[in-house]
Amino acid sequence: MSLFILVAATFLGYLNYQSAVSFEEATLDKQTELLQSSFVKSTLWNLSVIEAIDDVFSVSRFVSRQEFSFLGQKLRERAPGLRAIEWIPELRGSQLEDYQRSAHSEGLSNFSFKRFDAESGTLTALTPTKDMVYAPIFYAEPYVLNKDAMGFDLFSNQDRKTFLQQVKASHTLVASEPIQLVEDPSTVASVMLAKYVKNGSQPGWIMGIWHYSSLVEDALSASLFKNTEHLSLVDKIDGQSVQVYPVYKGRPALHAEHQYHAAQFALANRQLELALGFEAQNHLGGALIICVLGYILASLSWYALDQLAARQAIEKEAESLELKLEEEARLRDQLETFKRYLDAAPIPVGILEGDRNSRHYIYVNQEMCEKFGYAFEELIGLNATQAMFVHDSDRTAFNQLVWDSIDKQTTFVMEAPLYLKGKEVKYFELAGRYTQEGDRLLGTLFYFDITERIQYDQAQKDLLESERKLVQSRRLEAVGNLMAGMAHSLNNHMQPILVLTSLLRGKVGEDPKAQDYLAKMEEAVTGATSILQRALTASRLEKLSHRSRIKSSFAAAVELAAIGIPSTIHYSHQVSLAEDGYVALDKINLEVCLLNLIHNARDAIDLAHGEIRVSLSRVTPDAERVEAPDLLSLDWIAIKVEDSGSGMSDEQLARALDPFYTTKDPGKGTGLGLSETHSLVMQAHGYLTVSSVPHVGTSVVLCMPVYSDAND
Amino acid sequence: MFFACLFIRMQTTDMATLLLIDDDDLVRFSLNELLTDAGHQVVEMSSGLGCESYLETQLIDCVITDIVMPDKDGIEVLLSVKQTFPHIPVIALSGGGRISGREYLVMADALGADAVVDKPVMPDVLLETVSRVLDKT
Repeated sequence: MSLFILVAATFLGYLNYQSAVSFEEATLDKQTELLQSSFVKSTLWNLSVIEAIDDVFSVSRFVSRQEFSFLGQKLRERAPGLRAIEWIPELRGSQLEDYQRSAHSEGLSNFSFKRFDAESGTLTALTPTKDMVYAPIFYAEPYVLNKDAMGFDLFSNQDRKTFLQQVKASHTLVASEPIQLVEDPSTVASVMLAKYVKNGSQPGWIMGIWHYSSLVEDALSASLFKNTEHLSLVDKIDGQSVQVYPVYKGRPALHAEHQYHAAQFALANRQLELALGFEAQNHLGGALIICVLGYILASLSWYALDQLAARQAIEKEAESLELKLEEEARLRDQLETFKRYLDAAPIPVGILEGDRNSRHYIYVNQEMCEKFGYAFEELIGLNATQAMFVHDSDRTAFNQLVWDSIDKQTTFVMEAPLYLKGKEVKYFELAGRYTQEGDRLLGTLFYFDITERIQYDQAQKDLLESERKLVQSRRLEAVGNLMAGMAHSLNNHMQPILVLTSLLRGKVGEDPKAQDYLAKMEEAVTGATSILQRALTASRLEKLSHRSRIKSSFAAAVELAAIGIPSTIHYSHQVSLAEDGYVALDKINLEVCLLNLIHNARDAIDLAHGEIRVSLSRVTPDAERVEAPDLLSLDWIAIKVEDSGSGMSDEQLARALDPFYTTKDPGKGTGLGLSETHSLVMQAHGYLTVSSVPHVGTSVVLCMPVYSDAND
Repeated sequence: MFFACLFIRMQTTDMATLLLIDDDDLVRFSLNELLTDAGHQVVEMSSGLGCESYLETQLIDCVITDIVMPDKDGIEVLLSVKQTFPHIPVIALSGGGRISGREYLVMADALGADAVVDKPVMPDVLLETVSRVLDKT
């Protein structure tokens, strides 16, 4: 390798010697190319600084400002032209405040977001607002003069905003057009080199700012022109005047005006893409001619080795930083692995932290987000005692359970209906346990979806119930058949008694005693016949009718319900219905409806004092809610159940008819009563209305058409 | 011709000749007594079997038949009598019992029975009914 370099160097040195001899005769193009070449190499060397940072940055997803500052400081020492280097996160809304706060806590006590007014040249502090989105290049300040300055205003400078967008889109290192550093007393132009980094949850930019003149100086002196006292820059911007400015290593920078032109030299094409080897090179705003004499070959060789060494040094440094971050990264890996396991779990899991009175979610797994329909961000930080998916009426019981479990250091288990986002309700079994970690509680909660189990249980129960009813109705039918058969036979036997008794009366003559006996026999037979007739009618009606008499069923149901109502509740019922009639529900189901409503009313009052009023009256149906117009020609009745209980909020009211929805404490109700009543009333071609005022009471009205006969 | 269960009691009367079909001996006996006492001539049959051939050879003014019977029920009797001898009035009689009893009576009515009565029928109701259907013819 070194032999090759030596041979190549010698060869190139010879060539260069030839060209150096003829430099004054060299073409403009050739001279330009030489300058570019040296500039490019210098820039590359500086860009490698940023690349090195990028490498380190890639090691960890989370580089704090302090870490970055440390890194930047070391690298600045290796890149004399570098004036400032920053990692600037992309910030949105509330992140601005967080960022500002973290900057303060990291020792940058004066840090604030500022806006640069180009006209007045002043900086004004900004108060971050929620709706701001910052690509936070507000203004550039030399790091050396203001360590608290970190931001650049993009809103005030469309070019820089465009620049950042380009950077973001390119995913490579990009150089900006020349920029003027605010508060830099030297007023020289600078160039910003930036790269968009998005390695984790914190996207942002790594950017470095170089005085342009330093880059040129580096290019000219550090690499190529070490030993010359005769370096010059020639500005031919105007295309006519030629001005020559001597540049010496360590001397003050070029005059700003010409330095700006010089900036145009290499950056006129707006972007330098490192990956493509800095190709935006061949656009000279004007021609710049460098008089370069001798030693090009030697310098080139030296430069190559120097850059290699510099790169190695940077890599070494990066390596040590890498080691330093390794432990932290390992810990983070563990955390990430843990989260991955949690996310892979097919059961919703939430991790909570806090104290006895307030516990909030610090992590929820993906299944939890998916099951409940909330975004991760919506759940993180959520106070468990105020979780929106817990029903209000369950909170007290739930808190008590959790407190008990905390006090006794036991696992708590609770079954409860929970809201999914979008109001759907599912039944869950919550199991969890809190452990004391220092002065805080740490808990894990599992949410087992038991909706299907509950529904299955209910279906089983319904099945048993319908079987029971079927058995009941078959039994009734059998009894009816038996009775009918008996009646038939007895009727046959009654016939001769009836006829012969009658005939006998003619045969026994005038004997009053005999006549009296026979009259009594006739009376007894007639009575027996009448009883048989009634029995027959009864067995037949039970079987044939699916309708029931509203008044008697109502009376039976309200009497039945009274049994379950405690004496602290004033229970009254009233019938204001002149004519009886039939509703299209059998007696049992009508009773079920009324019992459901009355028991709901009782439970809403709980054991406190209150009032339940039940009434039956005629009503004019609400035409919009009647399923078929011809039903409007019938009479309608309303059964109203009012209570002075806890009432329901609008939200609860909207869900009141949903199956499984209940405002009752766990174990107190299935949430099926009102739903069942609703479906039964619908079967009877009626409708149901619920109105409620929280803390005042609830009123449920069943409206049904009345038929004049018992048959369908 | 199958006459095994055919009982005939002939009595002289200036009123009508009635065919009484009922599987229950006591019912048949008592109704026969009632009708005979009222001056009618009554022919008894314990089953509907063979009643058509009997009607072909004898002059009968009215048929009184039970509806629910084991061998041939009253509906069949009614149907065949009304088919072959539409001028002879039929009175359907039923225990009103078994589930279908009432429906039988409804059916009998629909099939052209001149009168339907529930058992046990009051003596005067039966006599009135007989007079009424005879008057109609």
